[in-house]
Order: sequence, then C-alpha cells, then structure tokens
Amino acid sequence: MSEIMAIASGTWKNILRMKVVYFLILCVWILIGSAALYEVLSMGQHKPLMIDVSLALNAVAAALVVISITFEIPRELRQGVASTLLTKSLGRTQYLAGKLIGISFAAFVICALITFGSFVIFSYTFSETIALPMFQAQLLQILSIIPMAAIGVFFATLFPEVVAPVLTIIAIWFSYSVGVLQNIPLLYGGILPNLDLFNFRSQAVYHADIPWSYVGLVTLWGIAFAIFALMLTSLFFKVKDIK
Amino acid sequence: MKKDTLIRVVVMVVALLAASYLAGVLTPMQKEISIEKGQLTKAPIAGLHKIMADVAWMRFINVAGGMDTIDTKNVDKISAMLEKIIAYDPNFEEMYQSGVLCMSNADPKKAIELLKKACDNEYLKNNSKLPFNAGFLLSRTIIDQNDPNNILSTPDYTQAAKYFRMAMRRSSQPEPYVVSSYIRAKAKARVEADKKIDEYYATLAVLYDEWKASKKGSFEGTIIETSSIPDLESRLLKAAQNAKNPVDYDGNPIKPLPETLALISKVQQEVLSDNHLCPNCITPTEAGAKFCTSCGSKVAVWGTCKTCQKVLTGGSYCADCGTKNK
Repeated sequence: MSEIMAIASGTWKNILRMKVVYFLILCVWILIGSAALYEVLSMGQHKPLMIDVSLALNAVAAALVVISITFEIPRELRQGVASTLLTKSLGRTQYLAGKLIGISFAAFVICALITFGSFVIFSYTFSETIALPMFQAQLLQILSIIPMAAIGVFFATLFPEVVAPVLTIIAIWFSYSVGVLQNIPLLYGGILPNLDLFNFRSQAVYHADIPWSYVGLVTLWGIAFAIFALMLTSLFFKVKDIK
Repeated sequence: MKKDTLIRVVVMVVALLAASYLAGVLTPMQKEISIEKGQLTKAPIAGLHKIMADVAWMRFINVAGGMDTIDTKNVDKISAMLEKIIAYDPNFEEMYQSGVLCMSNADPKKAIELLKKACDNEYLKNNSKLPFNAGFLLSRTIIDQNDPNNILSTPDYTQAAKYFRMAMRRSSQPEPYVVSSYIRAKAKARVEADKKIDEYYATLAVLYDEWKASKKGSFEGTIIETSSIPDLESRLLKAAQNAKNPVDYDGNPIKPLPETLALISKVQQEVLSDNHLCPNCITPTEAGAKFCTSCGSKVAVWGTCKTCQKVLTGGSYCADCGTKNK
C-alpha cells in the first residue's frame, strides 16, 4: 500500500506543482466569467450559458489532466524510472494503481478548484445561491475522472506517448457520445466505458434534482470499471518487456 | 496459470460483472431522471449537447438578426436551425417562445408543430405561454408575405381551443386575454360545426356549458373540478346582453336567433336568477328602480321598504320609517 501511495503522491505532486496548471485554472475562470457578457447575444440566456460553460470546461480540464498521464507513463517506462518496482510482478500492478490514484487525485483537485471558482463567479454575477443540481452535476463531472483515469492508464501502458493521448481522447470522446449500445450493459458500461452516466449537465441548468442514490451507484460503477480496466491493463503490462 | 495472474483475472471478472450490473441499473435510472436523453441527437458530441444548444441558439440569433425579414424564401434555413437546437436540447424554453414565433408568419405549420412538441414536453408542462402561442397561431389565417394568394394556414378553432384551454389550466390566474381567446376559439369552432347558429349564440352556449361543468364537476365525459374561467357569471351576463342585442359586422342591429333567445332565458333562470336584471336588455337594475336605465323597460322593483317604499340603505330596518325588512 505504501508503494502505491508513494507512486500516487509522486504523480499528483508532479502535476500540482506545475505553475501552468494554475494558469489554466485562471483561464477557465475567466472564460466562465465571460459568459456573463453574453446577455444580449444569447437573448438573456447568459445564466444557463455560464453553467454550461463551467461544466464543459471542467470536463475538458479533467480530460487534459488524464491525458497528461498518457505522456508520463510511457516516458517513465522508457527512462527506466521505478525500475526496481517494475521488476516484481505485483509491483507493476502497484505502479498502475499508484498512477491511477495519483492522476485521479490531481484531477479531483483541479476540477474542484474550477468548480469552486465557477460557483463564486456565478453567485457574484447573478446574486444567487448555488442550486443542488448544479452542485450534483459538477460532482458527477469530478467523479467521472475515476473511469477516465483508468482509460488513460490503459492506453498509456500499452501504447507509446505519440499514440496513447490520441487513443485516450478518442475513447473518452466516444464514451460520452455513444448511446446506441447502452442497452447492452455487459458491453457498454461493462467492457466499454459509458461516461454519459455522469452527464447531467442539463439537470444543472434546469435545476432538476438528481437522486443521491444515483450519485452513489454511479460512483460505484466508476470504481468497478476502474478496477476492471486496471486489472486488464496489469495483465497486459505483466507480459510487457521493459528495458 | 500463476497465482497472481489468477487473482488479477478473478478481480477483473468480478469488477466487470459489477460494472455491467450497475450499468444495467443506472441506465434506466438515468432515463427516468433525464427524460430528454432519449430525444437528443445521436451525433457524437461527447455529451456536450447543452452547450451546443447554447452555441446554436446564439448562431440563430446572429443569423435571424441579420435578415431583413423571415419569409417563405429563407424560412427553411431558420427552421433547420431551430430543429438543430431542439435536437441538442428539447427543453430550450426561450427557443420555443422567441425562436419559433420568428418563423410563424413564414411557416406557421412548422411553428405550430414545434409548439405542439413543446406543449407535450414534460419539463415545460408549467409554461402557459407555449400553448397560448400554439392556440394563437392555430386560430389565425396566415398569408404568404410574398404572394397574397398563397394561404399558408387556415384556422383550426377546435385545436386552438384545446391549446388555449391548456394555457388556462397551466396558469393559476389565467390572463383575461387567454380566457377571451379560449371562449372565442371554442365559439368559432361551434359555429363552424353548426352553420345554423351565430357567434352570439355560440359564445353564450360555451360559457353556459362551462358554468354547468363547474357546477356538476364533469363535462363531455371528463372530470373537471371547477371551471378555469374566472368571473364566469359576469362573462355570462355580458354574453347574454350581447346576444340579446346582436349587431352585424357593420354595427347595425340584427334580430337575435330564436335559439339564442331561448338560451338567454335559460341562462337568466339558471345562472342569473339572483341578479336583478332588466327582462328586455338584461342590464342589472339599481335598488328601487322602476324602469331600466339602459332601455327604459319597466322592471321589477327591489331593495325597497315594504311599508314606505324608500330604498333600503343596509341593516335590518328602514332608515326612513324604521320598519323591520329582514
């Protein structure tokens, strides 16, 4: 466990130490705030626009953080970082778990900062309190990081850093998009990720409550999928030849 | 197979089964919470439907704002843009209210279709403006601005009345113009169905039916708690007065139909029996008046002391002679 946490803390510290992350968060806040200027252009729809922009940008930020891992893992494997750990069979799984936890935590922090900032901007601009569905939609957005990170770790482990980010972004994109296969639970939501289960952006705008039981179950789904993806990755990773 | 590999496979299968089971539980739950999901476009836009709707809406405002007019020549473009917004977000209230009305003079049928869709939308079920707009368009004759011979839509008063009624029900205090529109549409539908009657009769009959429904609790086989029409009795009185003294389109007095007179009499007996009305013009009479101030007909005197015939000012005793009157 200590190895996992050591890898995890190394990962999130690496990301959260980067000044560019905070600069990007600042840019996101500015973009969210700029939605208030669209009152005329949107014919008074600037309030829902601000909620939509904050959720969309939070999703983009989460995806960007996850993509960062697809550069980090192939580079570390190439450079022989943590080679002692990787020589052991179980050590490889610990390494992957550490990376998954680390990247998830870093993304949680970044998305939470964006969420907090967006709520402050919204409250200040419209002098309104934050409705529960707005909070729930943002929370679900943050929770979606768990399966997203697992997808990132999967591609990062199996593919080089040139291919892995592209594959990860395509996988995340289609995991949010494809609703056709949703009726086949084993395939879609089981083997293939269904990130649309976390998508309640309309609810945030229309202030329609999301049951907490749903939030709890979807979190469990995210964890179950992440474990599945992690074990699948570790099976491939186990037989991978590392210099 | 090594032990650690076996453990990995077992954990993986268990996690997969758990994820599949949870996905099976969550998918119907999500459909229940987010009803509009099934109506969204299947285009792969990464679940960014809502923000795409906002962008499409702002694009629509830009395009429509740049046009001199929206007519039959360019309405298809506008219509396609609105359809796209609906595909991204079927709950976009402002789009139905402002966007659809923009195209109502150029393609009223499409506008009505979109408004009907909005009226059926569960999320918009409390919006009374949408059914009113649908009813308004359904009750109008709309002619092509570019070709006066091209009639784009003709009134369908039965449908219009249905939507006006929906607008009334969705409002706790329906606006007078909504109520009037409903009564007018319903009356016109009756006239269309029965050419022998006129609008005076039809209007009175509509209000009388509403009054009966409010008393009985059911109308035309459906249960109605109370009438949605506020001031029903005063509207009935006004309608009876108009029906008694009808005028043609030029304002010239015409003779009321025998059916109308029979209905007025029925309304007077059943609905307005507690009112003191002139038997000729159905104008309310003042206490102590012997003749109608409106038509000069002799009326039954009321509100006077049984001894001195002076008008009673209130209380139980006459202010003039002290006789107990109640």
